[in-house]
Amino acid sequence: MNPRLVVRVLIVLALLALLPVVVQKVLLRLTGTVVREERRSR
Amino acid sequence: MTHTQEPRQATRRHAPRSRRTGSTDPDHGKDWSTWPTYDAAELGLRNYWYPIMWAEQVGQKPVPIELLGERIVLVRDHDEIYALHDRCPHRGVPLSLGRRQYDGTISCPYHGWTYRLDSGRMCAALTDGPESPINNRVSVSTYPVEQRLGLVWVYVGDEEAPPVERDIPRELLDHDFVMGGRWDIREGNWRFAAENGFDEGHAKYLHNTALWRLFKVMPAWNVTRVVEEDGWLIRVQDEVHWEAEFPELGTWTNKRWWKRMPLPDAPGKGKNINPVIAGLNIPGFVSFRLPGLLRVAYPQFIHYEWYVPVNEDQVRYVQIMVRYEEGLKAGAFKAKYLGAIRWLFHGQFTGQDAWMVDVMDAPPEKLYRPDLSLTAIRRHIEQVAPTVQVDRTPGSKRTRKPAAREMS
Repeated sequence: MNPRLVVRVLIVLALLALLPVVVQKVLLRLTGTVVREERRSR
Repeated sequence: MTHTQEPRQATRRHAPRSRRTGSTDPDHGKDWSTWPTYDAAELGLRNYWYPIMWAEQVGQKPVPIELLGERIVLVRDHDEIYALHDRCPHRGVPLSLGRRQYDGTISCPYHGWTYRLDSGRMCAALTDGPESPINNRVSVSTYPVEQRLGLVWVYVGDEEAPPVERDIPRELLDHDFVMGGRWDIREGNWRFAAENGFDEGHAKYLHNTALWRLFKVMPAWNVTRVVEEDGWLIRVQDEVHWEAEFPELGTWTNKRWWKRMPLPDAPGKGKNINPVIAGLNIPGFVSFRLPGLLRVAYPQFIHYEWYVPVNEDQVRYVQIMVRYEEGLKAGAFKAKYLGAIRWLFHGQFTGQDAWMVDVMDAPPEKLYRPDLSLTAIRRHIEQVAPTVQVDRTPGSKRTRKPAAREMS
């Protein structure tokens, strides 16, 4: 497999994984809004 | 718009000042002298924990806030958040304008007086050398801080701070859930905001134009009583009327052909109730407790709003919506909150409340039957007799002492 392709795919996947975090940061910054989950039992 | 901005300097004075005539007139609508503690609580109540902002919003850069009329600076040092009185005792410059010169400290921007974040002790006057005789002889007040529900909580009081859990509803501590929320600074005294939240009559009229209620009918009028359980005041609907005939005027109703039929009149009734919410056994939808927390329990979610006194003229309005769900349902709620609830319920709907709180001008006032919810709060405060905040600003001309006013 082409190593450059692998690197590109990995970069895209990493960016996609970061997207929710980025969206939340932007929302917090712009609108003071937060969504989150609270876990008590684990 | 960023919500980390702190309130502008208050320039208006709301109506509570108009009743400072010391009147002993038995007409209760003329002033609030029937409820002297409530009347004196313009700046809020001491010895409580208050939610301030999202913990993520406090970083290395100091954040100035105002709470119960006290100027406070919030600073993060690694995972801990600290709160100090936002005033260097040297020349009264806000520490929030200062620098983080050394780990675990904050330095006044003017002469470099450097304070430890954990104790408030001035450990070094940087511009007077290590042997300065004033080193370690000056300090600023510190405030207990905790982080819960993603929020920063600050305790203002004279007693040793109780666990922050005391001031957080138990159902938010014992269960897993997903939540969305926002906060902002709104105009108006915190008591107006609290009364508005618990006000029995307003939603049926003020909010019947809210988009959040576009497809849901609200009653025309109710017969209500207020009960107290575990420190909560709870509005119980004894009668719910969906329409009424007013002679010479016509029918008053919120029913429309496109609106869904009503909610059950208590969160435990009806079908499809979330088991956690059903387990609370609340006899009515709307509850209030000190120091200023409203809980509106629907069958599938609960809305909370805190009215945190900023000063006499502004209130920090912290609102969260909670759903006891996990996994995909939790993800769906997050999307719904960001896409709709934040804008409709926590936006336009509660914005209507903000509008009323801002323009309200009372006392004097003439109360009607549904206002028993308002007087229940006032009576509750008289019974609990919490410590009322008085203005502690150094050099302030606003020197109010309730006892002195009562004597006048």
